[in-house]
Amino acid sequence: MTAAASAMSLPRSMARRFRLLPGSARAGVIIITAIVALGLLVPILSPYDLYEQVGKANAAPTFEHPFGLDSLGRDIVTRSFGAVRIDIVVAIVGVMIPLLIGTVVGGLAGTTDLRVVRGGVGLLVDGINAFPFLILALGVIAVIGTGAQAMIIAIAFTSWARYAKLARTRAAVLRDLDFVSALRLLGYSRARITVRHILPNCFSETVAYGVSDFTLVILTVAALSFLGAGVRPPEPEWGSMMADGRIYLQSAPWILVGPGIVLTITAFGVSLIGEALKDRSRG
Amino acid sequence: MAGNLIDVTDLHVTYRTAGSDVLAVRGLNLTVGAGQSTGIVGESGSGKSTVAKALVGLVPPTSGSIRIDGDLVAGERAKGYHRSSRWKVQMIFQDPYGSLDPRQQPLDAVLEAIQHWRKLPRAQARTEALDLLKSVGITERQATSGLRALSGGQRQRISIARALAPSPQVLVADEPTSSLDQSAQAAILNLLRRIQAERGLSVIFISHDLGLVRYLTEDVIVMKDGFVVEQGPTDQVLHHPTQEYTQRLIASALA
Repeated sequence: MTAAASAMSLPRSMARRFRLLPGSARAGVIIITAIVALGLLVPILSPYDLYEQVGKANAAPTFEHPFGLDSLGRDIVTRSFGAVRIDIVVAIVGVMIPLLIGTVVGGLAGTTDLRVVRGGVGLLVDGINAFPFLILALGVIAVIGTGAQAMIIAIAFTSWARYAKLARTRAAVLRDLDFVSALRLLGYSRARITVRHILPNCFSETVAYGVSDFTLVILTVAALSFLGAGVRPPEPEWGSMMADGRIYLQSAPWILVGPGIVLTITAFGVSLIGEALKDRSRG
Repeated sequence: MAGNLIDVTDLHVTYRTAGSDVLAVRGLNLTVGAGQSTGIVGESGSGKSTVAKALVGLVPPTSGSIRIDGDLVAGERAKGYHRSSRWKVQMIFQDPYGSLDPRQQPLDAVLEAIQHWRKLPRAQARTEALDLLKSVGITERQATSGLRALSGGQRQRISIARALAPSPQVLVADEPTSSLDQSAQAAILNLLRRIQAERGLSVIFISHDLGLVRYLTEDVIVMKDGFVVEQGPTDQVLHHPTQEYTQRLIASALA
């Protein structure tokens, strides 16, 4: 599918444009690369296991355990970086699935001449967007159950509508531009013009927003796990680690601080990239 | 008439809007031979752009007929444009910023058009696309860069190359230079004149600027409020206008 191919060519074009990126975005790329690298390396290289007790519960930070130990006596540095895998994977999938669905649905709805389809999709999209994001995601989880997969489904179910709205508006503008007429005169079919010309242009708009939504999804994953609706223990995940730590906020604040720092740095790095892409798509 | 490439008979176009119907074109007859060029002039709202759109098939006529190279493309019992006729007529649009896919490289835009019409090996099609772009003054470097870096004049050249890709017989140019600066305007006009001569193209040149029409066309149609006010050889119409409206148009152009 061309739409998918276009989304997949994004990393390549991003690499090509790295040097043209503003300084802040380059910093963002470097931060995220470092976080991902640490997320892969720390659990392997760390002398401590992700799931095993390595010392006294709630032990304060020391030279051996810079972020301290959690309530089960596990090393927080190891677990904070161990959580990168699951959190970033859930965030990537949680952005990509709704982005694909939303852009295609919105792009087609914005291009079609069928008023019923346009109106129906519009109503659905506005209806979903009218709900507070987290509440709706929780509602979906209440129906389908908890866990990483359920979380991805819940996020996809709620956030595709935001991309659909963006894509629908963009497609409606594009379809009236002269280039669409020019392509019709060249004898291209309607399907070809939609798939090869209108949808890729919708994607360049939604992908820019998708990157900044990445932060939102990371925070949502953390929030859902914090509320007990996300990743199940003992799997390391920032939100559930922080939820775990809040009971000991006064006696052992480091339990909450460690994953909080890694989460904040990740979200910061991603939003730096997202802002640059948004500026770019605004031209 | 068999010898004419374009044969338009009693063309009427009405836009139906919620409030009232707009009679955009009210009875236009036009014949253009192969390699000839015809200008259509008039003020905004005179219906000249609607004629262009009807000619290429973007707007359906309310009545009348359009024949291109003998094919009935609009009118009663018309089949519309099909693969056998679609390539014959192409159009250049007014806004060079809206007439290219913002995401597509210039080379790909031309390459896609070439491959759509002729099944060529990709390498050969690419060479042809680059040659075509070169013939309108676009270098390989410009052709493989993003659109962002290109000026209005360069974009218009790319539009022209893309329109030429199916080797059309007729080029309809709707105010192709009105959003360009003076020097780009002159360059595009010269380019249109050159490709017309080289390829034996018929050109329908739509403009509000009488000077441009004089430079580029042999025949001219003057339109006002959807009606044809005056029609004939360009020199004759511009030097010896018989209608008051044409005289006013010429006077205001000189002023």
